[in-house]
Amino acid sequence: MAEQYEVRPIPSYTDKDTWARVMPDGTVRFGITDYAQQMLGELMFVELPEVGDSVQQGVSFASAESSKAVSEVIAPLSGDIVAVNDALMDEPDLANRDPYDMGWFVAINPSNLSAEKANLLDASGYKALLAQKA
Amino acid sequence: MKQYDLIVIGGGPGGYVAAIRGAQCGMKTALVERDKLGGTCLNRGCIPTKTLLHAAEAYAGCAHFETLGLSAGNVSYDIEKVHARKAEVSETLRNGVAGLLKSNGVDILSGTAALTAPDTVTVGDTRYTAKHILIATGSVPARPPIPGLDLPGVVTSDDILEGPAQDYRSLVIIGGGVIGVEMASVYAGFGCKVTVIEALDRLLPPMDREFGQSLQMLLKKRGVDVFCSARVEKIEQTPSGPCCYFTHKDTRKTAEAQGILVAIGRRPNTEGLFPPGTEPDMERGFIQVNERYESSIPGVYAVGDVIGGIQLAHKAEAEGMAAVAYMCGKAPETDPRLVPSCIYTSPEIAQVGITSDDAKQDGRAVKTAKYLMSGNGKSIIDLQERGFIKVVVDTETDKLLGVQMMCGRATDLVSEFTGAILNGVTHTQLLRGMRPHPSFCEGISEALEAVDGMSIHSAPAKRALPQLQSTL
Repeated sequence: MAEQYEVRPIPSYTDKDTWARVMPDGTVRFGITDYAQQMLGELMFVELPEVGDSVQQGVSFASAESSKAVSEVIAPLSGDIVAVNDALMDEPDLANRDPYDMGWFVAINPSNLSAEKANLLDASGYKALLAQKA
Repeated sequence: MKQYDLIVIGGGPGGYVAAIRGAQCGMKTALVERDKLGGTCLNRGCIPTKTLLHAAEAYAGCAHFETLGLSAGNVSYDIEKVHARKAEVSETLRNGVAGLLKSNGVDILSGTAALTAPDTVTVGDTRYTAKHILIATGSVPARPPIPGLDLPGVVTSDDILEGPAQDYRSLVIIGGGVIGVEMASVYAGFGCKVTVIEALDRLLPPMDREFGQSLQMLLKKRGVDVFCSARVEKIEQTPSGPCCYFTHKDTRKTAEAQGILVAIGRRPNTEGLFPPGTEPDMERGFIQVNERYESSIPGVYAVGDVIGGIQLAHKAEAEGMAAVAYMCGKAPETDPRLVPSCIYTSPEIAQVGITSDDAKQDGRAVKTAKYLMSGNGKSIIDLQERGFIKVVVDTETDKLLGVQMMCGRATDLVSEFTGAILNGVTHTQLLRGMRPHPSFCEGISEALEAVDGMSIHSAPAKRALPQLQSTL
């Protein structure tokens, strides 16, 4: 049943349906997974932090609003926000159409990457989690 | 020489309201106006803008006819007639103001007033003395030091609202504040290609962040180009019209249009009022007043845009009435210090009191709640875009501190809160009276319930866990 939800190999995942990907410049991008965007439905609005704000692993850093619900979005890692996705603020449904790429939420400078990575799931770990949910 | 108890200088909302209140309190009153009664509000501000917005919305609303099961062919507009209607509304209200002043026995003096002595107002060749003088001379559009501002096709709100009708097919608006976004809504509604350029990081910079973000989303959806954190370098003339050169995110850009509207703010107007060397204490052109609206010249009061603060007609009116109350040794009934802000976009926007960001900055403990109007029946019936109502409540006392709304009739709904905040009402007290169904104001009940997590007509929000659960 989990096949209907796309899980990409490169990012790491949280059990709260968010992903983290280390970019070539060393910053880390966050976003929501395909499963999350399917569960939420079409996004109408996203509330993002501002550049300079700090985020903490496991703590909500943004909210995603669909016609069904408002969901808190959980940070996969700790760090400081260096960029927010302006395109997503203008078109929240980017996260529905392209959750792993164009629909990214924020980028951070990670503060504790090596230690915190241990708390994340890899693609197969997340797939297994989805198999239990479905 | 004619002697008055009160001479009001300026016939806009601050002035004419104060003059009528003065007459009601038994003061022999005169009002001096150098241009048209009603001031900026009636003639080149609130009233003409909202009249144009009404027409633009009605026109744009035809696009939804099919959804409602209606059809209409050949819907069009005649810009001359649209502007004629705008002029008619202004004239009706102007005549109303003149009628009210006359029926209250206020003498209307036409001309430019000069304060030739602390108790003397000179209009033309005639001198009038007064026990109290109230200055309500308002503001004028600010013209920033941008090269090319004097080129043809570059206009201010004065030109658009009081000048000849222009059917712009393309328009650049410099300034993403209230005036800029309302004008963007008007012209986009008439199918004009609009570009908004704002220097700060969002539209409506002094207001709650969510308004600017939501409005940007909406305007872009309606075909408006919006550039925030953008700085205008210059305006140059091209064969097809003026062209605006600006920088956005370190990239140089241009925007060419038939017209460029400069809407970056308004500066205080005291032109011709004070002979040189006789000015009261001023700051950046604003007349400084104490808590009784008295300037540094005893007996000379000032209210409205000319003293600074938020530039809104109802603020000027409340201050005008308060100043007259103080002149009569009374306490004002309406508190001029808590001013609701209203923006007549679609959906409407309104805010009064503090936002949760304000509270965070002040280190104040507050509870906030947001109700999404997607669950509100009236909003669905009315084909409203995404809307919300947010309330801010003091954590300790439960007293209401602020509300921010973007929804149908927000400009009316906000008034449930202004008085409530001033009267120290708690969110549960404001819930006491039920609100009718179906109505926009039901959203207020839901937002108030949501403070304690008890909103009925919304999906329960997913709560975040403070600790990340360990992996499998």
